[in-house]
Amino acid sequence: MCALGALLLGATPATGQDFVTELQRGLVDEAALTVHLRSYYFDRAFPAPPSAVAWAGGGWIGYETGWLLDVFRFGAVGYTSQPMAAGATNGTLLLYPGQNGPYGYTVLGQAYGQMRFRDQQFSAYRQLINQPEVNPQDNRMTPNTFEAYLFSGSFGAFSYLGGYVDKMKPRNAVEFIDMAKAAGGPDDVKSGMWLGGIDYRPTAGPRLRLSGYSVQDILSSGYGDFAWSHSITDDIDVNLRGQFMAQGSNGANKLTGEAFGTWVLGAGIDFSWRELTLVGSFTKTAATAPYRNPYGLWPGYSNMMLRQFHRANESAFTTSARIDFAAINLPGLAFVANVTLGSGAIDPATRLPLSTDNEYDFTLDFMLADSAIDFPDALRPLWIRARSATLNRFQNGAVSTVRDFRVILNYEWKFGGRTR
Amino acid sequence: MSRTVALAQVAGLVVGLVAGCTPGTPQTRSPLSAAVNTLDPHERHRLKSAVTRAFDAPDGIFTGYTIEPLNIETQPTVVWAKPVGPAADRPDGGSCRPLEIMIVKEGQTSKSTVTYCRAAGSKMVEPMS
Repeated sequence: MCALGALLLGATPATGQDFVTELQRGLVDEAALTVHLRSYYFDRAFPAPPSAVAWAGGGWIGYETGWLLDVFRFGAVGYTSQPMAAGATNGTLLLYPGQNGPYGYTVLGQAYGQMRFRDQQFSAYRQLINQPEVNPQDNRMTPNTFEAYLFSGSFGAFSYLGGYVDKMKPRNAVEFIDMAKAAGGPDDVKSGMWLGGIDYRPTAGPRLRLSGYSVQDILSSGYGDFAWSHSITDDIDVNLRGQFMAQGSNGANKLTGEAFGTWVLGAGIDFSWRELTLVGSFTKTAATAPYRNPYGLWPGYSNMMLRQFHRANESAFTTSARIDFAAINLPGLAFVANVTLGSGAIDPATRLPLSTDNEYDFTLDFMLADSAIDFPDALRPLWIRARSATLNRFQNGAVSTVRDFRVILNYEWKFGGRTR
Repeated sequence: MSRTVALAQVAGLVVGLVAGCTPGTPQTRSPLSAAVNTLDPHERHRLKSAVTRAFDAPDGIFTGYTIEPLNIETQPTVVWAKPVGPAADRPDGGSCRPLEIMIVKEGQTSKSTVTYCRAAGSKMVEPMS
């Protein structure tokens, strides 16, 4: 900790050698190099052509130094997504959109400096943020990243994050854009985001999270949830969950041109028996406005592959079954079936009913890291995911269907990264 | 002492203070315990099951679970435990055994070898204190 001061205090040949040793340690010995490969096939068929189809390959390469002088660290991550086959169409968000078809892209998504003191840390410039309503949303080729200046750390069971977010790079974008524009605000509004969050995670008892953000003249949003788990027997767990979120326009109300506010309330219960988990949840959105999630994946319990079920006045029941095939000596293989039945959605301006939506999602994961099959060690980082979704929309006595099918391969090497 | 060196001393003192040049050692947690802290209750329960089963398994045979997250858009969590040495009997009738523990959560892999112990007549397996 005192190394920098000691180095500057005495300009002797010995400290010069110390400095070289420190650089060697931080930049080479304790540095981490990450290579992440991703292949993504996406096929979404709408009720009427054209479909959105693409196969993309790419991933990211990242370098992170060790903690120089135990205080400073630097890192950068370059992301890329390239078309793997002809015939890709816009709308998949896998590639950079264009009039003559989507294109591959490459972007320096992360480039940060960090400073730490005990368990507290300050991070500056391009980085990932993982908060309930501001997050990477890493469900395409590359994640959301942010230009931000954030303090984070922990005190016992509490951890926190807070600071200023200046810009955001959406998933398939190559530029960092203003937070007002990222929310869909007009071009003449320039606003950053003040962001804060607290997470209480004791070793036993309920877990609590609170998080909120405010983008001047655009949107303020607050989120809170709790989860409480209890083991009934060695084999049976029950988990109770609840969430509440509220948001609204602020300042000059530039997002829609008028003031609005809305909220979502959710509750859920899960039962786990050995390798089987059954989940049930309910969410209700206020009738005043749809909920917005412009800065990442929506944290609501009814978040599905195609819809979030957070339109004005919409209610949603979600049931889910999760099976870990370790139960039949196939560890590494897991399956999830999710069904969400929505109802009651309205257009808040006209108060007229919108479609009644039902969505059925299926996900099969194969994590070779957990497989009992004697794969070579080099294949262990591979994660294969196959997904499908069907959305039925009922309105005026007719039904329209959207179908979605995806196959995703992830493979990550990580070299180095020793810490002290 | 030259003026340059004096300035360097002052700069070093200031930077050292800002950087936390205080008595004591940094309170950094081990990567595995930090990873365990990120697990939700269900994932912790599965890790406990993996450790309990691995404690009685032959050397090198791992017991693992793949846990799908509530938010299905994110990566499943993998926890597994593997015995890496024989169980050693304790004078009180209990036994201890080294297990390799691996956690893959949100793309971050943490692996460490921890010695677990079981008291005589008990099914519970706890890290050696």
